[in-house]
Amino acid sequence: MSVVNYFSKNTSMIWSALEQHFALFAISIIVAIVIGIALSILITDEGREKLARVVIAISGAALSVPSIAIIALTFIFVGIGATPAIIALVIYSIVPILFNATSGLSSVDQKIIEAGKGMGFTKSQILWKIKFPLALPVIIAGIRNTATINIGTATIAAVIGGGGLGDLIYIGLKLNRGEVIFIGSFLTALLAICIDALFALLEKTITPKGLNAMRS
Amino acid sequence: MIELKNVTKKFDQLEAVHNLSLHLEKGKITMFIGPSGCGKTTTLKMINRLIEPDEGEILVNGKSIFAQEPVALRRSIGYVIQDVGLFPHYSVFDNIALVPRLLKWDEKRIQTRVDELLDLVTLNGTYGKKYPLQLSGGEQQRVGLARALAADPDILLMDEPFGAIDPINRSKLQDSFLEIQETIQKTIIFVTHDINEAITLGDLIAIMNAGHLVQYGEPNEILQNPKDDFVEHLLGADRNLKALSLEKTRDYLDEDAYLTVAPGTNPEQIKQKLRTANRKLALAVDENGILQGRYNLEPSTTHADGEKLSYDGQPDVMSRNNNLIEALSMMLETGENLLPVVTSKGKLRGVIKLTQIFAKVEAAKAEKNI
Repeated sequence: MSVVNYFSKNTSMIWSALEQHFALFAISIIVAIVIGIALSILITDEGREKLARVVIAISGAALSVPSIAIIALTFIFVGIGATPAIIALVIYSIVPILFNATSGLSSVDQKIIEAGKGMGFTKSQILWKIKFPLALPVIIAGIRNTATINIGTATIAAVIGGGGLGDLIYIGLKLNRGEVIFIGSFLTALLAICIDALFALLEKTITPKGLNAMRS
Repeated sequence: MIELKNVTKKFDQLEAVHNLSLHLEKGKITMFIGPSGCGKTTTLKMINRLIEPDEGEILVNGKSIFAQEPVALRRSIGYVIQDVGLFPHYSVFDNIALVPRLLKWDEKRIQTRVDELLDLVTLNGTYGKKYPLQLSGGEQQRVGLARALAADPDILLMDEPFGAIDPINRSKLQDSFLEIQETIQKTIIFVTHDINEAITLGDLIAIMNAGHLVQYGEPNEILQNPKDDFVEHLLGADRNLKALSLEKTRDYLDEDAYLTVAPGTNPEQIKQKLRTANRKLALAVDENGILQGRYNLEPSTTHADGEKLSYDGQPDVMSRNNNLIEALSMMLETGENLLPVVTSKGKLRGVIKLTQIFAKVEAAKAEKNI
């Protein structure tokens, strides 16, 4: 009962925490997507295969760095507030997006690229008409994973003043009030599930038709 | 048509192609053959500038390819590779339409052209909507050929296009490829490592080894006069047999080794006639010249006169365009040493004799020893 009680008394505060949380997520993921994909396109360009392999190895290893470590480091260098929180989230999200996009782009069949080149595709046509659409399912899968991780990590960003649903959890912990902790974590989980479902749908619609075609 | 002049290409220290000069003829299929790393694919890729030579000149229709934009050059040359390289995310139609779209044709013209090409490679219109992963290897290869022909280029570069296809379907594809070439008459450069394919398809064969052109000429010429041990080895121990695949039965017809009789002639009469003429074979031919059956005079211990006449109402026949290898294997299969040769309508043209095939092999051997 106390959950409903707390919720009805603090609806506007909870709502704004949710909004803040969504903003933290949305801004950081968009920036991470843009930077991550741009970087992966740059390093998978022809003749940079070695660089792509190095980046895959490094970003693969970087995936195991704990989020709290990155948030703490950001705090040391940038300070406190929403901006440092977003910067930390961007840094943390770039890695898996870059990792997936780079492996997706560099695993497109060389024969197909060569055929395109041999038929007179320009460099940018090879990228946008061949490599990118074929790597898209892998890229989207990377973004989808990152999105759920990002939403979870954003709660920790409350430690450095990022705001959002993390605030509720910390308040609840400090005041030892289970219902507040519950509301904060429940809404975080709900947000993550909704976003994940959205990306699942996107992944399905965006996969080129021919890639799903089974041999008849 | 295509002229290579002193072309050299090095990869690091390794010389892939050494001082290659070659004239490729218009409307002909030129086969490049040799072991892996002999420079055949490198040479092919230099023609559409996928690989840039270090030295030398390449002219197409008298114009240097290095004076043209690589992208524009490639759009004017058809290109087919081993694993086809169809775009899996494009339908068959869109795959074939790729180059016309790059060249900004209007959609109506593209539609007409794609239909025309699907028809040419004997795939019906419903294939346009399919995706490459739904096709068999042979079908993919046909689409690959149609795609390369889309913008009607004069030149077609083919890099082991049938390499990944199983032997039965490969020989079907080769046959239909030759038929298509009869219609389109393109200048084709075809890389292969299969000597049989080179002999079957090539108007001309260029044999390469370690970056050098070893021998260049018509298949017959090469089979009869291999320039050195390398070529001889490449052609294989059975090159005299292979030479037979270049010979058509129509050029070896014998019209003298048999008698013709009307269908329904009395067997005793036929027996008599064959003995008088000293022949073993009589062919029953109707008033239109159509072959109806064959009579063989064979030794027999049960017959009083030591010979019996057997009749076959559905005799095995060769077509005029079959080659001598095919005739030979039919003879081995049926045990006959004479086979009637007929037109596509069934008209008798003559017979092909086993002894003649042997004579051809002997002649080829004798020529080699000179």
